[in-house]
Amino acid sequence: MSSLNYIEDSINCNIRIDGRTLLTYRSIEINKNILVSGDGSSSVINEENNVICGIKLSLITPDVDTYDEGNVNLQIDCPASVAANRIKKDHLQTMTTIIYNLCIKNNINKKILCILPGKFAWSVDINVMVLNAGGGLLDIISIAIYVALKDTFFPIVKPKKEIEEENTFHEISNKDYQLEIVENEHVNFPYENIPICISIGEINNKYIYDMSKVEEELVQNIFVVAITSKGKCVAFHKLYGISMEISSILNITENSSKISHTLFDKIHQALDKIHANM
Amino acid sequence: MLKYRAPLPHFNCKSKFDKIYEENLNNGSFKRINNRKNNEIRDMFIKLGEDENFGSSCFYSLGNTKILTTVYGPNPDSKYATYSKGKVFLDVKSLNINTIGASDRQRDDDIKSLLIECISNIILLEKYPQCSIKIKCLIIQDDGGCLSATLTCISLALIKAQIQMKDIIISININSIICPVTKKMYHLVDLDGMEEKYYQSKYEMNSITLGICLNLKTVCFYHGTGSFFNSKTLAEITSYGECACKSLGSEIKKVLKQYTKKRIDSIYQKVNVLE
Repeated sequence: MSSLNYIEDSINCNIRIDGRTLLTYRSIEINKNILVSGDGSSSVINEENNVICGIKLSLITPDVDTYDEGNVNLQIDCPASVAANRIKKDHLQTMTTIIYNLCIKNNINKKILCILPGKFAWSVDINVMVLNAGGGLLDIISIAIYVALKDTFFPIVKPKKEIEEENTFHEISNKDYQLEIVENEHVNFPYENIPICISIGEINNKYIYDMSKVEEELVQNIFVVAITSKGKCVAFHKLYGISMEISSILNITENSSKISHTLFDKIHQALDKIHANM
Repeated sequence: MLKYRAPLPHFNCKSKFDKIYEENLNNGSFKRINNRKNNEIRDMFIKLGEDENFGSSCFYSLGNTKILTTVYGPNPDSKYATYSKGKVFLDVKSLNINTIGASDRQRDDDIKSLLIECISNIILLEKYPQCSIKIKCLIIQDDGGCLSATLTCISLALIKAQIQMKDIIISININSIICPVTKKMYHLVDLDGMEEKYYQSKYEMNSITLGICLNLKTVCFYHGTGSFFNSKTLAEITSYGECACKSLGSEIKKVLKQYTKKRIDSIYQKVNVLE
């Protein structure tokens, strides 16, 4: 109990137990293209979290209601045999829903994923494997998804129309399509509008960014904001606690746009390092 | 046979919605397609009751959105609940004849995942050690605003079950629309299903679900998706939604007072009969 009071007192003095200020993020190690069998992959590690994200593209027949749209699925797993710090299954389901609703649902133009309306469309399966879970896991997972989608390339696929020759009925023309992949050409996944999550904890009217695990247990409210690389807030969700004032929400969304610029700069610096090494 | 043919419509005939849309563009104002005001909430109906398995239930309808919630518990549960705190289980189902196009299971799981954190924090779980509380929601009909109606219905069902809570939750959904010509922003309260689909296709729209503790006056649920949030528009939307939640909350308080009065009168009648 006295150690928790010590942490609270240090937060009131604008410093944390590892020496950071309230607005500072910890150093993030980003790797991409780590799985050769996946169409896009990334790995994001900081002190407490270790996340691997893999993306697989497949061709599907679109539904009747969304005949000119592709499909994006998200699944987050935490294997019990590997992870030193585990999360419960209910909390994983909550995080999957929150990240899907904030980052993926309305921010990917699914019509780009369509090859031929009603016949062929891309299905993008995003699998996130959490190897170690600490504080601020939502931020790390959203960064991993962003980097992996940035690494994803679509092959250019062109449908060819063929008419079946064995046709007994004269008026009915059966038509079938075959797909042909154009070699050595691909297009990028539309990743420009995909945001990353920033989770903010409130404790004694102070706002903490990038919480550690101990700080996450101490805070009274957690607010998650999704911000794109242009600094636009596209979604938010209040996650924990019931005692958040309305004025503090407005302060949080204003500060988060500034914090997201530094966070995106960190991500782009890490990616530039990877390009320099390749 | 020729005299029974109906006349064809004129070649530049417009539907009712398109007429309202063009009228909104020409005038500077905004008119909803179902003739409601911008801050008008649909008709509300609440019925509290019990079912035969000793669970407390609440039926809540807001326009054509109808939710039925049943609360069982607190029951002793040594498997899931911990020694110091109880545990809340939430199950959301919707009837399959409702939805067109949307995936039922994914939407139900979305509502469950978004609401379970809020419900777990509103109930005083320290009062129920080694117990579990089961909440089952049935979405009978979905005509827009399903997430907010489910949250309000769960809160009322927990009140009926007399489970100790910090406060009653009142939830409402607000949508913001930008006019493409004048770039002016309009805030609409409590859209129904037809309005949601139509405005999504015509305008650029933000959508916020706001849940407020009625007496504490704090925010307990806040979920928004859209494309143009900033702190100025958020301030307008939140104050707009707060007024809507307060007016809806006062109506709900009236219904609860009437229900309590009926219960007290029926108890007095039983006492008189016994005497």
